[in-house]
Amino acid sequence: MTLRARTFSAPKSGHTAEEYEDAAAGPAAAPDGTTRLALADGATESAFAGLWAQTLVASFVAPESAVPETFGEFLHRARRAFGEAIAEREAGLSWYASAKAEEGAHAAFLGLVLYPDFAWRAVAVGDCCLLHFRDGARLEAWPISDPTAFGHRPDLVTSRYEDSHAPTTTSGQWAEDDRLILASDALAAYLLALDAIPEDFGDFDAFVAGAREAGMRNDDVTLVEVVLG
Amino acid sequence: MPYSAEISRTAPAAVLLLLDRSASMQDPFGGAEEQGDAAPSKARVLADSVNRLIQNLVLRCAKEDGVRDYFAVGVIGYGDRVESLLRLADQDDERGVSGTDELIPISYLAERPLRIEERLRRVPDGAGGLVEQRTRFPVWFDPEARNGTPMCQALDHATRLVRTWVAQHPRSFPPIVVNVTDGEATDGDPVRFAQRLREYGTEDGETLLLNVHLSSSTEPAIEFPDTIEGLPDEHARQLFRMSSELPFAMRAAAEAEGYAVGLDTRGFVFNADPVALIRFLEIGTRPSTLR
Repeated sequence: MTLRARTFSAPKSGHTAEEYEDAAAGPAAAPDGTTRLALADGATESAFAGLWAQTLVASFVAPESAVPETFGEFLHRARRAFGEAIAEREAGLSWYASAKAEEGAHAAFLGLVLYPDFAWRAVAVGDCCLLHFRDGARLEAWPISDPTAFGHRPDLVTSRYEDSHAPTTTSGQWAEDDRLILASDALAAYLLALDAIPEDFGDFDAFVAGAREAGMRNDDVTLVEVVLG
Repeated sequence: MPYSAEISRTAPAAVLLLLDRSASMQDPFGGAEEQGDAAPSKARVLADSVNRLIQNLVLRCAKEDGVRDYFAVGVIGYGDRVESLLRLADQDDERGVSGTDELIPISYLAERPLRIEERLRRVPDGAGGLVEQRTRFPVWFDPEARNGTPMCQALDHATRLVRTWVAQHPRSFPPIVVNVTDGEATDGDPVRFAQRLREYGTEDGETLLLNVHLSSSTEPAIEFPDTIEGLPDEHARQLFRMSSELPFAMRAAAEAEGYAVGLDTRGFVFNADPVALIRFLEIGTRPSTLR
């Protein structure tokens, strides 16, 4: 399987690059012949959300993970890694950072696995979206296809064991020259409302500036574009 | 749509708390589990409520590396006189974001509680039971109760602060004023002053006035009523009339939390915890599991 992938990102307007809390990983080739990609969007209102988003995507594309069949196992590894990272920082935390750490970190998550036999499977919690195009036509928009259906309280994966929303999964078939896009929520909502998405996201900062001008919600934005074959 | 302005560091929202510190606040609070001599005073419940409100405001803005200034906070006490209870300390060079020293950045408060108490709280133990856990509870205010209830003067003072703020932050989410009282104004008709306060606003809408009624009455708690029917006394009815209707986004957030809301739902609670009001403000993606 050959593919070309590019990742683009921009922080919320008015925020610095250090405050960007989305994360993307992959494409990563696994020993089982699959290729994995992942996108996570840390929730504004949790502390350590960026770290949690990074931990999730890194765990998903790690060679030892067998996903998406074993989402629970992948999540367990991510939580353990995150818990260790927080424990190292705990002693020096202010009262509010410590209270936020207790609440846990939260993120929307999307994972994609491409199989050599032209199948793909995806797993998601929340509002990061997968768009699948063939010959310029959209075959799939998942898990949300209605641009007005995005809100402030999506399902989220949390770093605490008791609180997570359940994942949903879907699958499909890819063909050579297909285009797959993973997008975080504000960008996904914007793309879903367009008649046709851009052929090329090369000048991403200019694209984002134009999209915000045209009404895209101000948020961190991340886009992973995969062209197969 | 009004009340949809993004709350951000470049367009922070003002939150002004008005605290009744009159002598009648020494009376027992009717909404507590304990009754009679064991009941806490209304002044004690007010201090706890306000400390929790500020704690929640801080936590809504807190990230691992600090507190983002989404809010500027002012606190006005009214009892033996009307005065700002929060001021930037003289040695600090920072200025209040309103250009006065009475509305100050939330990060400043976060770093400077009077003290941090250790309290016990019950949390699920993961096996269906509850376990006591130590938690840090920051305290900014202690109870106080003296003299009359100059609520009209307090509302007038709030109006002056809000007027200055909105002139300087015309694009911000409108100011949110939370008045915590037992409702017995001793200096006139507060409804008129409340109306005048609410008339000042930003391009995004009028000032929101939310009232928290702490009463000695043991009637059941009431949260966000949409009618004056069923309110226990004239003070409650008066505070209901003074309170803003909840705007659309806050109604939606309240509904998502299971409150029954309608177009006439008011920002008013009777003998109930006001912290939910803070949760109804949208800052960004909010985990629905957080309370």
